[in-house]
Amino acid sequence: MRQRPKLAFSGCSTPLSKWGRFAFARMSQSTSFGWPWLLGLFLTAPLGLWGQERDSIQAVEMGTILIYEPLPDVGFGGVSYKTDSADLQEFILHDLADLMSTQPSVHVKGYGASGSSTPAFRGTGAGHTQVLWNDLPLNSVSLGLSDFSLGALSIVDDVRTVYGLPSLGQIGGGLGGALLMQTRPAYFGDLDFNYGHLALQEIGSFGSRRSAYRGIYGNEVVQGITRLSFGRARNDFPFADITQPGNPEVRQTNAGLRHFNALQEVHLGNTGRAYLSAGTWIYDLERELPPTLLTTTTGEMQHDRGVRSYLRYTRTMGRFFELSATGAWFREHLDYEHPVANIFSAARTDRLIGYVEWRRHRIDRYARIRGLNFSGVNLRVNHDRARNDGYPAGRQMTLASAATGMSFVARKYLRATLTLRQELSDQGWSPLLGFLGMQVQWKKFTLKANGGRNYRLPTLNDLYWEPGGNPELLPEQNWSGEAQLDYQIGRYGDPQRLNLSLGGYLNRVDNWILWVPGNRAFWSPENVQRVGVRGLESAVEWNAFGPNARKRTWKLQARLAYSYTRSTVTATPDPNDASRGKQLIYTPEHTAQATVRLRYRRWHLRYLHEWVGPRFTTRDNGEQVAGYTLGNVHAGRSLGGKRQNLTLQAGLRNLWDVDYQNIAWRPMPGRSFFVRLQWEFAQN
Amino acid sequence: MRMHTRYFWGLLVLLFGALSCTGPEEDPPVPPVPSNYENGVFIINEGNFLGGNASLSFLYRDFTDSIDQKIIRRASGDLPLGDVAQSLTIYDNKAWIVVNNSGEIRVVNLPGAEEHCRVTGLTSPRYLLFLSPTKAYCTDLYADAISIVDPSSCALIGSIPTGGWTEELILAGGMVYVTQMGTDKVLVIDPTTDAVTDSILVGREPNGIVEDAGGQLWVLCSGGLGEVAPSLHRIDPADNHAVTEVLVFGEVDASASRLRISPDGERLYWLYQGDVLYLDRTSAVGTEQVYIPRRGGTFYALGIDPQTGDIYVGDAFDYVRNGVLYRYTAGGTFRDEFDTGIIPGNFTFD
Repeated sequence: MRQRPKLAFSGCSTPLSKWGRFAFARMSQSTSFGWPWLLGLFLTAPLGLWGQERDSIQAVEMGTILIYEPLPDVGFGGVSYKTDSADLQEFILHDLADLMSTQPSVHVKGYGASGSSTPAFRGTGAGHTQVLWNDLPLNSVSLGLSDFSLGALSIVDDVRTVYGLPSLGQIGGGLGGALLMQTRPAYFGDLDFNYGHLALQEIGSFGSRRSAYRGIYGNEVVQGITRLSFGRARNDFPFADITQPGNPEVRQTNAGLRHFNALQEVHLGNTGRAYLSAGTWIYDLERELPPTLLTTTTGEMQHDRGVRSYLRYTRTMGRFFELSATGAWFREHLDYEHPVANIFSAARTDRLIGYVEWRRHRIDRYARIRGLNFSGVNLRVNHDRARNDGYPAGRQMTLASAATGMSFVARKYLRATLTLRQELSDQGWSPLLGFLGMQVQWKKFTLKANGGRNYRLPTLNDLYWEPGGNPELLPEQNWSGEAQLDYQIGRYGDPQRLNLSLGGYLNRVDNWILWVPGNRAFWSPENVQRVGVRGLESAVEWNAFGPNARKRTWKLQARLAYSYTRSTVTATPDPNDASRGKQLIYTPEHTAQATVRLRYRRWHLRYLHEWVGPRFTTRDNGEQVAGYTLGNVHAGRSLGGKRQNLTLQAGLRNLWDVDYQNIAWRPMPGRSFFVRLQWEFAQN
Repeated sequence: MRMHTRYFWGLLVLLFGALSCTGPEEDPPVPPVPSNYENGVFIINEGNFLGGNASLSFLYRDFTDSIDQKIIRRASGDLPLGDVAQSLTIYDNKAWIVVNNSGEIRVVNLPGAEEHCRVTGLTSPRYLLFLSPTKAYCTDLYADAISIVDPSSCALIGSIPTGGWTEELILAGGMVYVTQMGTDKVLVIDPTTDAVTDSILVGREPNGIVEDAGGQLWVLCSGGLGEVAPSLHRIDPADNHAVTEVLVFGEVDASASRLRISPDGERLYWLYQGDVLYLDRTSAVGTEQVYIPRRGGTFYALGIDPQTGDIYVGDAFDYVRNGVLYRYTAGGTFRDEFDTGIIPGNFTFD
């Protein structure tokens, strides 16, 4: 007898999508394709250890259509981290910056409470992190980097952090790695019209109000998903002004913000093997830019807004492969206003994307096939246009790239991946990029290692900004390698499980692009230095269940991760350059996170403690901003039955009320609270 | 599993122990130390825009190898100087430090550098000119006006509308001459009425002005950001402000700044494309020469010691690390060098 599955929202730690278990296991009973083992892999809330968690297959049935949404394959020997649902749940009403600042080996530079936030993976630069949404690159057309304050987490279903070379499978240029965000269809399970709703409302300190809604509705042929997110905050938090005698308490000024995000997707299919998806994401973020402790309020404002639309056709090709073709268009605006200086600048960018991919969609089964296997191929063409104060007439750039890969599996203990990528841009052919990854399993040990080559093109601003742009710039060249050893005691489902992980990496970037003053009246970008990055990453995770493991009346998880990053200038044109051998600015050598999660029946509690070491603010390491430790606690209780659920949550951020600065002289909020109400409803 | 659990807790303790051992080294608090900042040279280190790392260094003339760094922090109990220190003027036994992006003037007593007062409420101050015990003019980048400051009370007492960015200023013949960046003018202000009485057309973006031994005013113009070539002009105050274009430099993208004059008022110096150039005031047009060639970094500051005629050059390198002060004799011979703070931008001689 077919059993009607529940409609579940990913990322919600409620009875509708249980925390840490196979919430969709029942789906296997209703698949028309008869692959129950496949749907068992559908983890909605994996609690995998960083760097150790497997790629899982996301399979969704819409009526008679089985839709595979495999998380991008990073290949064997790569290190990636899928943000677990508890983290996504806590930060669901916030932006990517808040979430990523808690991730290992990721340092987010936040320019105050309402300012922009840029990431740096493993000691590389902000432009060395690629951000993709459903395989579509989001990095700024003109600047090349991504502002994490623009992405509302309630808009996405999955967030995966890929470190280093394995990002080449999706895109080039991620010398530090890539952040992969995905949205996906929901599972309906029968032919009836079905629907579900998720609504959240949060109030918090300093005038913070945030709301979000997700609605899913449809039938066997068509499914619509609506996601809305909006909010505002004054961010007028008090802080001790350490620049004044007596350190008087003052309030932050000019730090308010207002944001809106809407994503509408439609999935349409009328055969058993193909479907069509379309989506449009609109965002609008208006914010005041706060002064530093040492500057006066100038009333600076920034307004980011944009539209991102895609159309994708996906077709299952035989039993193992899937073909998808995507066309996308992004238009983004960034307006900046400095009323005191009488500056108003407006920038507009357009990106046209064509993306075709033919890939294996069942990664785990594929992994079990011995011998040499073809992984697939993807072709990408990006055409970027930008117009701003630096080039009012506009500039454009086209980048085409192709990637393919092979996998080799020998028994269950040796697996290897080879990924190759070639790019063609206005600057000519790239070198052959690629990486070779290997995974060896022996008893409870798993060794992962990879090495290879990547590169990054100069941005439009680097090349054409007037004055200063340098059309003669060379791409940055990157060689890197890494290894990680994992050790696991216990198996999934055991009352206790312990995972240990220790890894290291080496990364070298030649022709690093830096804007430097010359003897002219303005600065210019040049390929001025070589940077060497090496680091260690370690993690310990312990999971324990209550005495009745099946009912799991309680569950405890403790995780500790530590990263050491040494990112130094190793060569410069000037042999007496004082920055030689010195740590790159705003790159912490030490970071650590400790997390404890406890779940008891309908209660859950999470405590996160993070430590960020001091960061140098000058290239000769003569100045630094102090390190800090933060504690965040988040608790909640769910109420409800089979069809609807109510969850009340509350949290304290910066629990210990630490005065700290992420960027020098930019105060950050002290202790703050939030209270959140979440309501879920599903027809079935 | 129990054994493994014990291992786990042991590892946890070890890891925490390791973290505590590799913890950050905090900056030791800088104790206030008595100092005597006189008979020396103040080096105004701009620091980075929005970096908050402006600082003040002091080079003792009496002890040639002695330079004190971050003297404001030392004297104030570790309080920072501010964001982008622009200039320093000594008046009434006090150092008046204009901190541009902090919108204030920090006033410290000399020779100790203890804080005397702060003049706040300025928009984007640049340079100060003292006219009397109760009046000083302060130029400004964004205020579209020159602020009038009362030094006796550290208060703003008025403003002179100018429209645009005003930069260096000088008192000559009872009138105040102000270079106006963003334009091609030198404004003339009557300090008795605080009114703009005249504007003199020179080259594009005048950024420096000095008076020579003959009472002539020299104005250096940057040419703007790639707009026209830099130029040097001479104004004769006695001849109804007649202007002579003395030099037009070769390249449109070139940088020309920091016009200075020798103690006897006979020789002009300035920075051009990373070199120190000079021209005697009586020389024929086109005879300017490189006096001190660039040293591989970025010459950013220039000062002439009024006592000795020694030439001080500040090298900012890449602007994001500490700079260096190079000292040359008046004859152009290298003498010695000292580390400075970030972006040494100006020198004030005591």
